[in-house]
Amino acid sequence: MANEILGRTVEFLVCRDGETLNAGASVGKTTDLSISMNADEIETTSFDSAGVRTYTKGQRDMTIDFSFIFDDSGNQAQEDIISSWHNLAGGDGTTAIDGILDFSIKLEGSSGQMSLIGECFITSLSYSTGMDDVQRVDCSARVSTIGTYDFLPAA
Amino acid sequence: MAAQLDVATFIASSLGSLTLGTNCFAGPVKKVSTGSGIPHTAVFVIGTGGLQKEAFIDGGSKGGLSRPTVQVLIRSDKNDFSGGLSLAESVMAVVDMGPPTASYVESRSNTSEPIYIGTDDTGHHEWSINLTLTK
Repeated sequence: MANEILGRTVEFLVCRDGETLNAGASVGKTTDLSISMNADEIETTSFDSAGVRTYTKGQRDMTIDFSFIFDDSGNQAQEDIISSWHNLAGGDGTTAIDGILDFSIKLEGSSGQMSLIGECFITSLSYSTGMDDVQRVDCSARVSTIGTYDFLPAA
Repeated sequence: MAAQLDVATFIASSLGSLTLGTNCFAGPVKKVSTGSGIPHTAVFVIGTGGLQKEAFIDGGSKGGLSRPTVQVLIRSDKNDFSGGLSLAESVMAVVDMGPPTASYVESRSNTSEPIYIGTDDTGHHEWSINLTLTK
């Protein structure tokens, strides 16, 4: 039995802040998803470091980059994402202050235990169309609040 | 429904000279047969597989963007090159940038004009149109 986790298993939900992250919040037609976690490095080198730089860990932050094929059938999550860049009302007509979105990423799918849940806002939205291709949207989001950080599978 | 049947149905419904199952077929080329009613001038649409489906990251669902390919083969009446070419151009005008049903996003020919592929062993001229569909 394979121990790896299939990429397309990931469940990716997005909704307006305060709305419900249910099946209707599935971004759907997502073609790429990457999560980048960073930590500042603070140099603490002193005269006592014997010529070798020393560091301590600083503040952490997280971004999410993802792409999806635009779905013209009233995909609420996609509408929420696109409209939130301009702080407009999303798919359900609800306006969220400052374009804040709730998100949930479950790496093992809906029944899995590896999950990342929190709030984010869109920092980059790129809408592209090729001559013979479907229309695609590339997004970057800054995670503003982390509610659940559970990247490790159950033992 | 298979792409070859969708395209064959679309061609037959778009060109008045063609009727599905009479002189427009979904499937491999059939030899001319008076007894079976297979005419000289005919169009055949056969599926050729296509590209790998672009799967979606969506909780393990099997959803994805498909790009099936089909070959449309146009056969002329015996020794009627101009008639066959005219039919091939008519088919090209219908299927290139003409999705066969609302389930498809696009249908593109891989060439600008039908490809003449010569005559069969009984003197019928043949043209090929290779389509890539998106659904």
